[in-house]
Amino acid sequence: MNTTCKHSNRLHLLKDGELSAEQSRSMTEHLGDCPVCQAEWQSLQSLSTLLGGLEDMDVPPDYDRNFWKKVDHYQSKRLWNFFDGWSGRGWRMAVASPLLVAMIFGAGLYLSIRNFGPGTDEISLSEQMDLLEDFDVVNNLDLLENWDVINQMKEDS
Amino acid sequence: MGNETDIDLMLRFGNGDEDAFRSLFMAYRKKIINYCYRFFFDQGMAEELSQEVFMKVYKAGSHYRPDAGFSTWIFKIATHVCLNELRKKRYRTRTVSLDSEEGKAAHEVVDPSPATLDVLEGKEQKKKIMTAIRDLPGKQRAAVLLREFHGFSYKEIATQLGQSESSVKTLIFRGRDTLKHVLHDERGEDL
Repeated sequence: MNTTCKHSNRLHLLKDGELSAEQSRSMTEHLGDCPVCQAEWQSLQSLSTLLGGLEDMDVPPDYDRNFWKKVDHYQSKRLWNFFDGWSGRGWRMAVASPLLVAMIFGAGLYLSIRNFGPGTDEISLSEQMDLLEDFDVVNNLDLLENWDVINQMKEDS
Repeated sequence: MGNETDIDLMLRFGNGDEDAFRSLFMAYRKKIINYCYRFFFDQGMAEELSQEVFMKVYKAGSHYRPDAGFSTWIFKIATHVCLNELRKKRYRTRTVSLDSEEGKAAHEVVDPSPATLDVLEGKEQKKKIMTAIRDLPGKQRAAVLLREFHGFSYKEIATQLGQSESSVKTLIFRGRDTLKHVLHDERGEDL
């Protein structure tokens, strides 16, 4: 008597519903006629019954509490890492940022003084020297150190 | 399996709805615990590993993309966690403790009444099945468990294991064959 059948491997597929309707019908017909496949089929069914007899494990009583504790721990760690990460690279930023702002502000202030008319000191000095109408002269020359040049320019004009 | 609803819940969780995650956790915790339990037949490990699975799902949050069914996805995570644990070789040379469920089954005092003998035979049988499953190679074990206990199709198992469907077919066939032979040898008769 034969102990093997070339179709017996397909019994797994039949059992698991992995054959098409046509293939299932054909395999079922073969199963009715083949003692080797019948034995194999019986063996597969017995195995499933034995496996099905294994009991489920119940959810442990403190399972949910333990899990949510882990979630809380993860959340607080994530929050801590966020701040820690920021401060880790942030000390350089903490120093550099105000310096940068101060430099930009200083440069803007300097340019605004240079470009937009004389300051209070320059106006009062110009008034004393009767030079206010010659703003360009005042604005472009150092009055105290170039007094002679200014007078020369006055005379020339 | 209500996958659409589960996917919706996971997407809602990704958008910050923590209650959606709670619903998924409650729906899947027993299935995942038992999957991990049958991988190692150790309740403590099952608890620890299944919580690791849910933590991974929690952390996935907004990164989740519904490429497959939710149950396929969560069991894929569980499979990776269990296979990873197996690779750490923690359970390669595990000895049976006298205090464990298996140990109790193997060392109880024998009462010769027929009813008790049936119970003992049942316990002995159970112990043999557990040992046989635990001795299967990792991927065969995963494939058999996913098919026999959770009813996944070969295609879904292929996704979970990152293998082709034909490989899954072979894994299931070999896994079942090994189990049948082990149990056949133990019983001295065909299953």
